[in-house]
Amino acid sequence: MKVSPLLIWEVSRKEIYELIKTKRFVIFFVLYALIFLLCVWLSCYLNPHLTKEHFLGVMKNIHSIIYIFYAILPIVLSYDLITKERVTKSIYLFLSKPVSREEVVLGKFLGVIIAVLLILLPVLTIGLIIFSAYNGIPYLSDTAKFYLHSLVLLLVCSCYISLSLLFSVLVRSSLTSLILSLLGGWWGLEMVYPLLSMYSLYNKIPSDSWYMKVAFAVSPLNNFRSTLEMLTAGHNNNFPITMEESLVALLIFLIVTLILSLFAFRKKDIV
Amino acid sequence: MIEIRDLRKSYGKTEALKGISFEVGDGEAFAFLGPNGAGKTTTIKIMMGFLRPDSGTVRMFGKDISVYGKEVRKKVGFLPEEIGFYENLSVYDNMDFYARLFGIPKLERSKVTNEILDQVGLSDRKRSKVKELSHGLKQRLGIAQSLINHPDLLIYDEPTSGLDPRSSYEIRELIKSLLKGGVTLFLSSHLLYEVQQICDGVAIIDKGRLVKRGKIKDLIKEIEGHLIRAKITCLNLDAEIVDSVKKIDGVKVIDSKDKTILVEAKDEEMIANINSRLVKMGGKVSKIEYISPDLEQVFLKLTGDNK
Repeated sequence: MKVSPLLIWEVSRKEIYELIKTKRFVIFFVLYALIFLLCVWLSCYLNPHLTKEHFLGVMKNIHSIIYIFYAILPIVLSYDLITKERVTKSIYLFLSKPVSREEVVLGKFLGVIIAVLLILLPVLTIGLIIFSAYNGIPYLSDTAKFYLHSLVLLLVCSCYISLSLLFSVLVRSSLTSLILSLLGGWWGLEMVYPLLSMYSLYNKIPSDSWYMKVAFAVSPLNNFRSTLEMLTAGHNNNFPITMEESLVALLIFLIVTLILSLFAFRKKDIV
Repeated sequence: MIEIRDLRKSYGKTEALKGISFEVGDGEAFAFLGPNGAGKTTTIKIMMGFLRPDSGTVRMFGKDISVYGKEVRKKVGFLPEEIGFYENLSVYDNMDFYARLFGIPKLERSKVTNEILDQVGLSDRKRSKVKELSHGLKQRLGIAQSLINHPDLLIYDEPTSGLDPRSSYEIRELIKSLLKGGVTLFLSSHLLYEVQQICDGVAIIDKGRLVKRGKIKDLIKEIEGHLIRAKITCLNLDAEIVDSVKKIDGVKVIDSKDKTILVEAKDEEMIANINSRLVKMGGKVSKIEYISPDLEQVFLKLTGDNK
């Protein structure tokens, strides 16, 4: 597979340009900004005893409250990446140009990641500024940790983008892709671990067995919650896998879904 | 320029292409004809790499497109039958995106885009969003985007489909002007008069098989010896007279309206027989006009037997 980084960039550039003009981008940007920033402001306003030492703890709590956003946002921005091109027939002109199908998939994937970053980065930074305004500027190491964890957040979003992209390659209708991404990709994967936990209660399966770990690790959101410990450097015994294992699981999820998307689109007949 | 060898493609149990082979030479204006569902668009989609054939090969510029598709497409301008753009982007932005995919540098990109938009008469609409354009203007934009890379080969699938007569005429004139530059044209169309005006070579396919390949004028000559068409003007033409003509062996009444009857016969003697019959029936024949066969007759003759 020989791909040109320049062509991937050109494809992603168009994708970003198109995406930021959509209503859903604006709606989710505003919604996420309102909810996240309101949470930061309320935390500061309602807790007069907060100090800059509490910065990471506050951010961890807010992320745990609104974590569903990190599945819905990437899915909503990417569920029709390929289906829309097929429905509007723009795919014929697109693929008639000297661009490989791999470059199309990777370009679109990169485009949505950048679009998600365009939403997350300003909101998280404004959140940091609001916190600083009330409680003083956090330590540099804490700020670095906060932004480092934002990379993990981006990795979680990338997993959902890649999954939606896969559904978008496999099915013909955007609605089907959205339903599969939301129900199968987000809710379905989320349900694996609680269901297996219930089953294990009645069948006396040890909670640290390998398949309990796998059931937990298949959901990027579970892994996200597990990696939140990175912010406070604690260890939460509620999770069956460690933070490091969660990071590996996220990477595996991303690579597998992306390879499947590349392979499926490469073999796909564009009828 | 194009070599297609034993191309086969099935959709489930339906065989869309049953092993078609033909070649298109450099600089040829080639028409690809066939009734609806004959396999024209499937062939074009395979040529462009949208579909993978079950077997067979397509070579363009001497290169197998299944291996060198990306390289080949650098020299091809394509206009699909169902054309779709990025509707929320402007005319210029759409063109700019396609130019970027060809790796055209920034300064040249702007110059080429403006030149081509001017050529197709869209320069005053370049800031308009594509969704604001009429069907005719979108078709012009389709032609514009196919020229962005100065292609050596143009593959056009029904370029005047759904256009009003004026727009169709303008698009045809545009294609004719492009041909003067020595570009090779692969034109799929069901409008036979359009093909006859633009192309010299033709391949006719029907039900996934190649029925004929040759020069349009040679194909017309070929059927000229078989059938003759004549338009007979009879001042008192009525149903009884038309019925009597229909009963003559070897004569086919194509059409009859007002005072004229259009017939097809084996030779001039048969036409003379029709004249005698009409006179015998009391018909007042004022004019017999022979009509030269055209591509439509070639097409109907070659694809009609399978109906």
